[in-house]
Amino acid sequence: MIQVEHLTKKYGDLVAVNDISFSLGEGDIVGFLGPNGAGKTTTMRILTGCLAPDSGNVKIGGYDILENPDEAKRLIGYLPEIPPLYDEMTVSAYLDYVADLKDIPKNKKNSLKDMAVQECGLEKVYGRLIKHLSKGYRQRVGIAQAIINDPKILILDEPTIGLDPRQVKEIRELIKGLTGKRTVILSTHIIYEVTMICQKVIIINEGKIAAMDTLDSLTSKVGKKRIVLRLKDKSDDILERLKRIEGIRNVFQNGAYYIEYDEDKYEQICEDISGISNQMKNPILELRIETISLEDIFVRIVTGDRRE
Amino acid sequence: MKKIWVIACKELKTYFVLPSAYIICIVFILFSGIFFYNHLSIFFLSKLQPLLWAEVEAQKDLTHMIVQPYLHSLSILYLLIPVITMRLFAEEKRLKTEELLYSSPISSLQIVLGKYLAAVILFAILLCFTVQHMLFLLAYGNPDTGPIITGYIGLFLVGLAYLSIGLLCSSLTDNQIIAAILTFGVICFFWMIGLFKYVIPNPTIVNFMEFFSLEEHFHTFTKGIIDLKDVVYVLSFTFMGIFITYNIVEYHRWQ
Repeated sequence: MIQVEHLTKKYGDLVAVNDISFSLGEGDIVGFLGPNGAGKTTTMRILTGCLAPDSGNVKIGGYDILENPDEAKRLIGYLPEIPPLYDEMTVSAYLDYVADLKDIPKNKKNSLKDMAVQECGLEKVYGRLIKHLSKGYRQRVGIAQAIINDPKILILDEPTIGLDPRQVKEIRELIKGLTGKRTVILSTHIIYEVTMICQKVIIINEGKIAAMDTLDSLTSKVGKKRIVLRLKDKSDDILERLKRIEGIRNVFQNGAYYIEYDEDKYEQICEDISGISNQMKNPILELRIETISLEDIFVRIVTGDRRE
Repeated sequence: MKKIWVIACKELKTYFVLPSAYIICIVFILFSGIFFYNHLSIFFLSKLQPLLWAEVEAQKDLTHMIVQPYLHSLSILYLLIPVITMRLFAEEKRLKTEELLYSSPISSLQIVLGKYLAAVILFAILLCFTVQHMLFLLAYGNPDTGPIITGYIGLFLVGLAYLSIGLLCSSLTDNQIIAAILTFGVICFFWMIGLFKYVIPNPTIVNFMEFFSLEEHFHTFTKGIIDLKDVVYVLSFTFMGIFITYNIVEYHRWQ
């Protein structure tokens, strides 16, 4: 459904998207995860034809977004980070306008509009001016705008940002209901959201794909334990020595040392660590066990250390 | 063409939903009425005063005394053009609604032409509000219809050129006020450039400036003449304005 090959986009010296390639099939529900400024929005803007890439190809349903933009765009529904709403229009007039923009034939227009209104729960505010709507409803109108052409591909850029918890829950449920046969790309920096809605995850960092995996394999480590070690002085030497300890599978440094280990060798490992500490005259400030959360995995991928 | 119309309709509705169009209409109708009344009063006064009348007898008719000066004073409409065009692109950029346009199956050219068309239609509506004054003259006097018709054609054509400037300035910024001031500046420049003929002695430069002054080209229209030179200049000016706007919009998508 979506094929992206070697996509690159620069803003002056800043490389926003750096040689990204991926492909998605029909019905894939993908979370675009990444810190702010990672290149999520730029990638989405290129996919929807808002922005032209410096190099690389985007094919939507077989149509190149630059060579056959109209055909490709007819397959897409896009909700930008800030929903593109005109305050002075009523919800009804706005949806009419979007339907006309998206080339929806006259005989289908009313039924599609009704469907969008119903799916997004806009019946109550149908005749109201958009400027009088709450933020949650504005987001719903934004989503209605994206699905009004019954698109095969739905691209949502941070759809729950800035909403209160109740609205976030409602919008998430709404998005879940929209998935079905559609290919959905959802960008967010809220990891929990991805686990709720998506099957696949693409983690983007500094313009590059840091990881692309199914949610299951990415979350397989969740719930396991690791040691958090904080020493007075930090040095690469310590990192190397820690790695050599028997029973330690991996060490990852981010402020403290995060150590993955074999649980049955815990006591031996603690002894070895304190031995190193004594030898190097580097006192232990903290040594504790914590359970790995999804956030930890995300932070680790984003900070670049993903050795298995 | 259908999509150009979709954009134009939306922009026109926006003009009339917001108070801006009504304020522009009221201001313009008020001023055009005052101007017409002024020229009419001077005409009657001069008839009452034989001395003055003798002086203007050479010109004597309605065309010289009312139609031409009135059409010239209608140029004030051009000062309202920044208000007409300022929001067209600037507001879309500020509210980030341009992403809706760009992700829809519609080309940049269609967007530009649609927005331009909306501004042209509003401008034409404003011009229509002055027609009653001319009908009044035709009903109670017998002015020469030639200069009236060509004068209106001139007003409209020069308006097209200024509107394209407004559209261009609006595409440059996401701030309506900056767009309006910029448009105002450029319009004043092309309006006043002809006035330099009084201060610059060099005839080559004067000719050059007169050629670029839209006001000078408009002047020919009010005499009842449609000169191909004027039409071509004004239309190519308009074309350039739209063409550059189109390129700016495309540039933003490629930058």
